[in-house]
Amino acid sequence: MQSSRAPCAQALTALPPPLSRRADVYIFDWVFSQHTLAEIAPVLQRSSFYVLISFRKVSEWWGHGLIKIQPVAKLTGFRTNGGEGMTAYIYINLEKVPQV
Amino acid sequence: MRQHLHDTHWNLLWDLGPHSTFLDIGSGYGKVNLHIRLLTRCRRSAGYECDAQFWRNYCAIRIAIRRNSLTARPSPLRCVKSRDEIAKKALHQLESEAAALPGGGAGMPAAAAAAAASSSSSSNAPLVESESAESQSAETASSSEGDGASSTAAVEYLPMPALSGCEFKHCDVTTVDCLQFTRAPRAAAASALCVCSRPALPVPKR
Repeated sequence: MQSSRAPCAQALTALPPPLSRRADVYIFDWVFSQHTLAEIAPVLQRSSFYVLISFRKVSEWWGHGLIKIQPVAKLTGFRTNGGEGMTAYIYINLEKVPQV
Repeated sequence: MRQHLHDTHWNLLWDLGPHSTFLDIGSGYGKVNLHIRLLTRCRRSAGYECDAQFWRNYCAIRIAIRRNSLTARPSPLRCVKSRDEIAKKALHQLESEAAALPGGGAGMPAAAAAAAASSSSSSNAPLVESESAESQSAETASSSEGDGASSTAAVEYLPMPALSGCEFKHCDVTTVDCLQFTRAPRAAAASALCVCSRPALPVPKR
């Protein structure tokens, strides 16, 4: 028996491959060392994600070689169990932006 | 650049939904992955947990053991591995609870249902079956996927279990060429390099 939601699902299968395999990355790098960031940045630079959510400023990522991201928003109010405040930055991959 | 980004039309492609994959680097106990999967019904929600420095130490010790220069068994990954194991156990338990519901695997636990109900309208997005074989084929498929009609007819869709798209991996993402699920279509031919299990055991420095 086919689900009533199947038509929507079938419509989704018609998406071309680039749309059907898009990915967003969330990285809780607040406690990451600079050494770890330096090793992750090239991997992200080679990956074709759309949105990156990170707790590091863009200057740090650019400094480590992740130069294809652009900050578009930030969220404040995050607080650790120890009471430490954090700011989450939302970046987009400029390679995926339309007409860029 | 900001003005250009402001003027750009951002379609739903940029929103989390059934068409997207969510990757969490440093997923810990996997709480974020589980919540994202339930709230957005994203296609996949993968978590990677590993400490790079610990991983290198672990690999170095394993190499030493292979060379019979060290007899002790390595255990430096105990901490982060326990997080990964807890995440997998939690996922397994939630899946078991979902399977025990009257709806079978297509249902979700009461807590998960409540969490999903509190989400935005994206929770009403279509449920899409994402079995591992199907998603892997989507990842490794070539451009032949472009024919929407033929691919629609070929793939059989079933109601997706609530947490079927979640997976946790204990590996080091810094040793891969690119993150899994994020490779560009042009690089699909070289997809074998984009797996997390790529052997990258570093040789200990002297």
